[in-house]
Amino acid sequence: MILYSSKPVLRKGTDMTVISHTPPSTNGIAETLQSFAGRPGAGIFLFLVVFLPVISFFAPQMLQEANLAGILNQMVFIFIPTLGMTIVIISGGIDLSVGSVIGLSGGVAASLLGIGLPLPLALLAGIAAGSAIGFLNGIVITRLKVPDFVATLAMMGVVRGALYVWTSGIPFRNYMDPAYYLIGGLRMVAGKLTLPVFVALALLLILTFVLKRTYIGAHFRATGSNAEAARLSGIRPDRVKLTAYIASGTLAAITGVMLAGRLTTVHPAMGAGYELETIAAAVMGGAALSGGRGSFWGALVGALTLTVIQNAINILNIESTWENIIIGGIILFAVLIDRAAMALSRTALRSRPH
Amino acid sequence: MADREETMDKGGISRRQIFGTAFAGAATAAGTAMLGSLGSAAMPGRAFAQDAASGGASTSIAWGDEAWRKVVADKVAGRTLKIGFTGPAASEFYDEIEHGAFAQMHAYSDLFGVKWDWTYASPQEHQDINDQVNTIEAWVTNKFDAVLVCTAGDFESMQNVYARAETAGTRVFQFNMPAELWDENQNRAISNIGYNNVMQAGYLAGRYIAKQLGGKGKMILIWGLPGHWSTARRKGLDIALAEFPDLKIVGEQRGDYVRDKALNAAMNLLQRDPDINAIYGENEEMALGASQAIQALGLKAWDGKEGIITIGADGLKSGFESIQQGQMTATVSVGAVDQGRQSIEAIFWNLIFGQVPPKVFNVRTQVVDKTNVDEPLAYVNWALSVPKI
Repeated sequence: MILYSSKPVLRKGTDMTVISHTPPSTNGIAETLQSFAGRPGAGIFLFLVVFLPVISFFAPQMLQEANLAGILNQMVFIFIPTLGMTIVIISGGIDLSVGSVIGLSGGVAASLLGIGLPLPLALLAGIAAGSAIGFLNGIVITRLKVPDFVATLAMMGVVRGALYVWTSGIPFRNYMDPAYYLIGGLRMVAGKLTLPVFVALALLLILTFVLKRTYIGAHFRATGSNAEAARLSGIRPDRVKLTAYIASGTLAAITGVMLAGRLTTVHPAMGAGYELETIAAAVMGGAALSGGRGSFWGALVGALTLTVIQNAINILNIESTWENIIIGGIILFAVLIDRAAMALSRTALRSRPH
Repeated sequence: MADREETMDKGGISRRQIFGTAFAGAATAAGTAMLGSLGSAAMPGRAFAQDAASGGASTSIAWGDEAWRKVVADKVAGRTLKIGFTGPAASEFYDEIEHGAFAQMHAYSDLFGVKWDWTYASPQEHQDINDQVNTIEAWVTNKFDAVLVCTAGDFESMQNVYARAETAGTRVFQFNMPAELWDENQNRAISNIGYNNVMQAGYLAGRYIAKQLGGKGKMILIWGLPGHWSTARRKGLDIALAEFPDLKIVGEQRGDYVRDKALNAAMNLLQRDPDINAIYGENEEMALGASQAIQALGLKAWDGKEGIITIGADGLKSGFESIQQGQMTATVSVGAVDQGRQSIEAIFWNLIFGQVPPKVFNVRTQVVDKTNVDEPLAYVNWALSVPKI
């Protein structure tokens, strides 16, 4: 199915500077830094680079190999849906149904596995359920012209409610297959790393390629920056948005079926709250809720930061009542330094002699 | 060591007296008789004593006789009792309580010809108090005879809700609430059917860990959302640990009652401190998450001598099965099925005859591990097999 025009349009838009590749610089380090600071997520990356050693001064266990691997193993379950959220945000939308899709897709996989379907089929069915919900989101938004926020908020409730009606509140269990432990990341495959880490890496590389090297990425950004302008230049914004929501649903579902393996039971509340964590991770990674801007590497840094904070809270044994305040505060701080870094880079670029 | 065992047992007996087991004993006898009646698909009006005898009593001293049964049945006169049941969230735990209630309702229908109009509701969002209050008020407006409530709502503000229900003629019963935290006389619910979270949950878990580890070791806590259950269980744990200065809490983190978060928290804490001896998850989902973390990190689960103990609290079928499989070490079974059954008992006698149940009625609880999991698992399996109302 070709969802968008393949005409080579809008190769460089107004908001595209942020993903442009750094040209080989003659001015050396200063210019490289400026260009780096303008990238989405650069600020939070710097924050992380400073935060980790500082915090590990108080808790040396933070930087131990096992803990770093543990952080990566945990991070992927936020990171993969954040990839989808980033796509949606770049194309000018928001997807609040992510957490519910994670729950439902895990439930579909678990229930099918429970009645004896082979693992690959059960996983595919779970992922397909997520894609279908993404498709529905896209249709409601583009055809029925329901605002993204409202449409996906409603879908969040409907899908979660369906899961509760389906299960009567009782978790799916007794479906585990030996291979599912591997897929869920309960067994280590390379050193102390688990399979979901490699799934995430593959997705990151594929999606980065798509976003940077094909027109699809440009279409996402064009639609998110200015849907009307995009339409005038030959892009079909509705199809682009539909694609974005299908991608988000699918990526959330991939997370959901892996999480069902990790948790070994699917509680009907599984994935609740993930929508807000993924939005936080995407925004920390430099995605602009106004659309048109965002990056997958930024999403990686955002998801990593959230996981590192949680890890640090656990390891430093910070009193639990402070947890929400600390996480909220750091999200705000991270977004502010990201914006500051971007502003700095713009000022620097403007003052540069031509 | 022998000395310590002895003092611990003495402590246990003296504390147990707090719970007032006299009523529980009578209720258990009643329950046993009814188990028999339920299994025999009895019809209203059949010979009662004979049925009790088939339940195994050879001395023919059964719970009531036909004359008494008839008096009750005449008073019931085929009446339908309209009951609303609401917990803080839909879950396996509340499903077990509900099935306990179903069992007792079927039993009373068989014996006395009473009919039940049963409505279940739980808030969509975990512990959404507003949603729950709206549900209760809708039930009161619809002239329910009684509502059974378990809520994360604040004690004071719930009293106002209960007062309005009372005025409108709906009787309020609470279940699974840590009634020990509040002044009994301020509590407007007619009865609180539950268990003592301090002494019958937190304290028991702490004592079990101490006993297994010989009173010495390092433990971490994975705790639920801040609220009255977590406060009460922690209080009980602290009482238990006060007796064992060498058993130390080296970490306490939040798992928000979900497996996902508990699994990550347990992994992070074990990463920091791989030589910890025990993890206490405030509910079973979190304890199960902790036992998975132990497995995933290649650490050893407790085998009776060494490894890491994981203990939770609830008494779910899934938890018992995990104990059988040697994953989770133990759990505090807080009598979900009995809470459901006793709630119906309190409601029935109160609505039909105006009999006043105890303000606080605590069911039996127990630390369940591999050595004694069979009975509680069989009991839960029975309750879950009872058809819905």
